[in-house]
Amino acid sequence: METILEGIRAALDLLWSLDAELIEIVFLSLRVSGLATVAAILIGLPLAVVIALTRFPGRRLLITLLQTSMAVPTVVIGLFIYALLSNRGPLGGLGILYTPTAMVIGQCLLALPIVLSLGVAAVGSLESTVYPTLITLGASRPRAVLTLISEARFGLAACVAMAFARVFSEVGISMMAGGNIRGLTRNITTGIAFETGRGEFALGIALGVILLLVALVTNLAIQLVQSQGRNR
Amino acid sequence: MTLALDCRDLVFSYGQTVVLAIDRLEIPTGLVVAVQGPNGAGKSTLLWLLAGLRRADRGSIAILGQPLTGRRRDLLQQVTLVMEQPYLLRTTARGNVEYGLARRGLDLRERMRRADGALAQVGLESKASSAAWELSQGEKKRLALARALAIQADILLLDEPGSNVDGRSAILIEESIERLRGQTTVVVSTHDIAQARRLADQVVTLVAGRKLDVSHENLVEVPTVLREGRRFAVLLPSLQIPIGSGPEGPVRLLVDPDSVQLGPPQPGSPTMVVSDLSLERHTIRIRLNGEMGLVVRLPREGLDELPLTLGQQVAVTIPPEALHLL
Repeated sequence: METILEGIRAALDLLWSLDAELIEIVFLSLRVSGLATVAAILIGLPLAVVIALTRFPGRRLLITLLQTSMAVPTVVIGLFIYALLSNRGPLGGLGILYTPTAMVIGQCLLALPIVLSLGVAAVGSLESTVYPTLITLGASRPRAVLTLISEARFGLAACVAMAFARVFSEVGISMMAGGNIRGLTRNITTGIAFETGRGEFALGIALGVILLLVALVTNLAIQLVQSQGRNR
Repeated sequence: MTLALDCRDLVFSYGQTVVLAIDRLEIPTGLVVAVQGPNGAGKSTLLWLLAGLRRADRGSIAILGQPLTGRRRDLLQQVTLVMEQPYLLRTTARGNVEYGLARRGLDLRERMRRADGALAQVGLESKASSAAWELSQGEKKRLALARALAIQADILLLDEPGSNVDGRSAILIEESIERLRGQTTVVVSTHDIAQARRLADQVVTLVAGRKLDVSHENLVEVPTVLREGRRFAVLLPSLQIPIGSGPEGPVRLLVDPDSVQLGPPQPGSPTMVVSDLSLERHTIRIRLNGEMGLVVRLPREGLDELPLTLGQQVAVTIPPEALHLL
């Protein structure tokens, strides 16, 4: 118990003094997870809109697969990225294993099913009522799709926040694709695992506090967005 | 008279189930036409087809004389539909009305002018800047109507405009429809026969996706019996009416309210009790109760020959031509 309390005291000192290593780790986490989320949005949202608004054979199966893939363990994605980017892998020549880029790619793969599944649900839930309404008001098909996306903004914003929360708190991909290299790829979650493993509770707890704070802020944002959507 | 809408051999199915099959439906311009029928009759499906939101499996639709095809979707600019449960955009009431006007390329000043005019028509001028989601159910329906009125389309399709609204909203909606008479072709679907009769110049009845020439008010399922090679529908033990040939067993019938005859009670003839009287546009609607319920419609002048009061007993005669076998 005393060790934990000491750890918390030391963590508060680190947070209060804005420890340089702590700040570096936090910024790397925000940068990698932010970029991964943006990439997943750029790839996932247009695809989600297409899947939600078109009917094709196997659509239901695709949606089921996407929903299932939200539960893929992060170490499995980490393993896949490692196999892809390691020297013996098909993309080994790129030399990006154990770099933030590899972490971004892995986290993007983790966020993509979330953006796709929840994006399809957000747009699809409005499609049957909004789309015909817009057509009867004289909107062209492209304009109707744009307005539909705008109408689904609360649902889409919540799905983006959920994707960010998921990638920000994952550890498997960051560890296997990033390698937890100090000053290069060490982020909050791998930092916690590493520091705790070597008995340095203070930094581990300080990182844990920040992780929880970011998770809290993200969850509050999700709740706020969803309550806004419910009110309208 | 020019036809606003002309449908021929229209068939629409969900999978293997045919939900609409109409041989011919002609709707002249400038009239208010009510499409009435029970739930599941195909009223909404018909409106969706007319609005170009669904494509018929077979048949043709002409809008203002022009056939509606995949290449002539511009014709749909002449038509607008207000759905039974309209979706309102996440903006203000005025923003909702302006949306359709912006799609027609009107400038901001004209959009504002038309939007405010349409909102005033449905009694929502004071709510122009209110968020659409803050309006009551009746106000939301009126806003959806204002959105359609502002467009000034030649053909206005209204799906159950009076359902789930308060009394004031129902009156305002009907008044708005009344003002359009002669200028805009209005097709109103409703399961409320009284509303259909009150509003419409013409009433079209749909039952199980088929267009019928009689109202669906007296839709009954009755047994049949065979006697001397003839088939009789047993409406009451004392009221058995020949319906041609066919096997014994239950049948679904429509009894045409306009063909039923009423008279003073006679010994041996079936009698029923007047339980409700209501005035319609040109007729009076009489609800009769007894061993079965029956709606009868008489011209208003018919009351001069047979004055009716609530609770009065009347003899009922149903001629064979009043029965329509489904």
